[in-house]
Amino acid sequence: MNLFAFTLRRLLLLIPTLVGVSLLTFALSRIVPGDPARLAAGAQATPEMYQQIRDEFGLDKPLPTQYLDYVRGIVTGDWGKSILSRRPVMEDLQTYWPATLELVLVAMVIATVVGIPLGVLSAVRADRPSDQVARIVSLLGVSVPAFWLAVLLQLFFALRLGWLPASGRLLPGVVPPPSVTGLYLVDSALAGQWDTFGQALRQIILPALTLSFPTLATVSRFTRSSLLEVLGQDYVRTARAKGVAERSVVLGHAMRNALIPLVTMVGLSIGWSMGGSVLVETVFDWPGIGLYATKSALTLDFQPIMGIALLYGIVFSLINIAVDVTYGLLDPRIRRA
Amino acid sequence: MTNRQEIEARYRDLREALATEGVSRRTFMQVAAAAALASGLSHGAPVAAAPSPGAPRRLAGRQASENTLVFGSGQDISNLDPHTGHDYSITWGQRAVYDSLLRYEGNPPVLKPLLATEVSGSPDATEWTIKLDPKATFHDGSAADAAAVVWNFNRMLKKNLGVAWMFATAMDEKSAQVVDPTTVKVTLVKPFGPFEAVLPWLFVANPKVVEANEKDGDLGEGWLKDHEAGGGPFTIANWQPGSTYQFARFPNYWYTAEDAPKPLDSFVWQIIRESSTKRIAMETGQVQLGDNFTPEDLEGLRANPTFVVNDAPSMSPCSIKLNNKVGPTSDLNVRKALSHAFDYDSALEAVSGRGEVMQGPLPTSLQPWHKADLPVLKFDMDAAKAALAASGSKDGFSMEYVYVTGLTEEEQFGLILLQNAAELNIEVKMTPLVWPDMVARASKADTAPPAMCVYAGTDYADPDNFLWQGFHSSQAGFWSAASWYQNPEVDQWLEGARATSDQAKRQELYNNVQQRIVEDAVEIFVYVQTENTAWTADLNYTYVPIMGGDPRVIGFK
Repeated sequence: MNLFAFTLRRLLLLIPTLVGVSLLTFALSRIVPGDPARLAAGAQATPEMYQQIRDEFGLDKPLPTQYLDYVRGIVTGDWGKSILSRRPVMEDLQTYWPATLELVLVAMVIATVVGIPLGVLSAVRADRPSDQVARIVSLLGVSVPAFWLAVLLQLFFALRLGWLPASGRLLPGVVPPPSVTGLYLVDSALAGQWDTFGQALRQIILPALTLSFPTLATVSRFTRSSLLEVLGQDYVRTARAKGVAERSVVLGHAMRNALIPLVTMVGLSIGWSMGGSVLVETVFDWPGIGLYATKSALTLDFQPIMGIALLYGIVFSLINIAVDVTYGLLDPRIRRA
Repeated sequence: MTNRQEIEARYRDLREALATEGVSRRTFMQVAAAAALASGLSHGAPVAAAPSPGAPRRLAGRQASENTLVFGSGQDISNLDPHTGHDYSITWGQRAVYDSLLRYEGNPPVLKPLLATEVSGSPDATEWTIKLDPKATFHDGSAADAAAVVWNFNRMLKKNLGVAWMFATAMDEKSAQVVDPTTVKVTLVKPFGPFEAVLPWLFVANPKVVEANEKDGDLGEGWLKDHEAGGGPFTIANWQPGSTYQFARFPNYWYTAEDAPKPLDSFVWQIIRESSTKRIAMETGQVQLGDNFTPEDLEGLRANPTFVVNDAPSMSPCSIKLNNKVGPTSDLNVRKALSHAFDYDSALEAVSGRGEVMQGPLPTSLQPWHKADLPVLKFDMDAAKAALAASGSKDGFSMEYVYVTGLTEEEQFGLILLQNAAELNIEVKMTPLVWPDMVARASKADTAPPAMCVYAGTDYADPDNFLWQGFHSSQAGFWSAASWYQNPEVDQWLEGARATSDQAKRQELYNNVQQRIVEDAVEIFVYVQTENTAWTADLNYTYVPIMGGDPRVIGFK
């Protein structure tokens, strides 16, 4: 199967996945107890006000009709609106999604840029003190709760040292760059607003560091174990026997093969980090999709909940496809399988 | 397994292995100690270059002007529309960009003129005359006149959302009429004594601007959620949903309040959800006014003379609603027993003393309305036992106590009740629920919990706000009336108080209502919160216990 057919097949499989996600979230939002219309109407609403909200959101229609209306809306770009804030869900997703994406991408950059060299160092100096330090860092990475690390970083870098801001995506009063991608770092660079770029960078460091820590730890240990395995292979021994410099053996010969599985791992980590961004977004007041999801879930605001679930379904599926395609590019045996 | 599956399985194994990896305790402690020393986090380690957290620093480049107020709050301004959005944070934004007919000032709150210079009602509270300030203008320079006010009344009623519940039971679209450019006459379909008290919530938008932005007959709703069409002291400078809402001073604002400080150049509503983050933001000078701190953070700020901690009573009473309609709590003696069995002082300790025990259904700060000599039930286990013995459930029973998941103080109130009720052989089952589920439970008498902890909101400074909402029969089914108390005599008094503008008569009727509600032990009246805000000492800010303060009268000293 060529790469195009392989990709197309995976993309087509996306359709039943998304239908499943939409059915599941719709069903869940309708079977949970609670009446969002009563909540939105307020404590002293008249019966007419309450009924008006139910009519507006079609809550008295039969469930199959409600689902078909919902699907029709999705296809035409109308993802409904929040029953509480009355804002269109699509508009909210466009607002909050880039913030989470930017945070996760920067966290992934930190995790790989720090995690891979740390893993290499551990592998080439296995069981020596530097490896032990790396192991401790990894252990902390997977066991330290994100909210605790977040507050610790805030106390130290924001309050005691005053080097970095404690929260937010930009400081109050700083106007965001003109939106092209919604990612402030990219948009400010595109607009040549380097002051804003610097400000956005300072703001993102602490939350991205917090979010990156578990992935960094895993990348580091994964790199170490992969590299140790590869370093024991015959072709590495052959390279060494031929007198190739150790640096070249490790970085040139072994690393190339050791890093292939990391593509999958980092890809999957992007998905997990998106799911795990809720806590980090809460502590750092990062206006991302995680916060939006939490707020919507706690108020039973079902249109945003369904929109977020669908968006996550799309993003996770696309990440999986991207990982498979990349892996297929790197290892043709996968495409043939 | 495919390679992909192998990798995923390997990744899972690795994560599990890391979580239990066999790093020796000695090695761990050595490395951890070294890391702590290196970072200066170990106890007592000096951080030479660290600035003192004592004095808030205004971060360079933070603000366009030093005359900017940044308010750190956990609550979003989700919809700025003057007629469809209404909550604590939204009204801060609305007050910044819109003028209302009247405004609240001070604590206890008093009504002050804004667009309206005078409001007078007929004795039967059905006809109201509103005289407008002829100087009032919108941001485009056009007059904020009677025609605009009538148009806004009608838009609010048409949308029938947000604040409409305060008006819709008493008026329709024919009620408001233009008499002349500065006079509006409102003829209500039902008498409504507190009409004047709800006028601060009719924000007046410029009809021309709204109509120009109307789409598909939405009366401008889509546009107004994040744009303004007002005449208030500020305009929108920067709108970042879920994050930052910045308002810039409108230079030609027509209104000046008496004794108002120098107006702010800019007012920023900054979303900061975590209390610790908010405290850090205040201590580093990013924020000058913040709300909703934990008691620990509030005390931390109080210890620093640079900050003022607000110790004024709020108007947010917390009570445990007892189901008066169904189950054991429908028995008056059971309700009395539970009210006597509740340790009110312990409840105050649970909120770090930040409040005062309620003395009946109204906050004591709601003067002159609160009745001082109510026979409020005190904590008294002997009286509790006697009341239970006189009830139909003298051998005890089992009941649910429902509270909001994650709200520690509500959980502690439940535990206080649980502990003392056990002495009466009443088993209290703690049931945490998310708020929508609690609202749903309250909607039917059969499902309304026997005991449910609820904080009441304050929208207008009138007993009607609390007593109608909580105790009029028509409200049963809403969360604020989760006790399902339906008493025709009380209904009659409440309706009578709405049907007159004679304040002395109203006082008498509300006294009757308060007395009866306490005698009927409708709820366990727990406490009224102390307001939870703090600000920098250089800020000239007067807290108003109805939806916060008014940015048009806040400034730096």
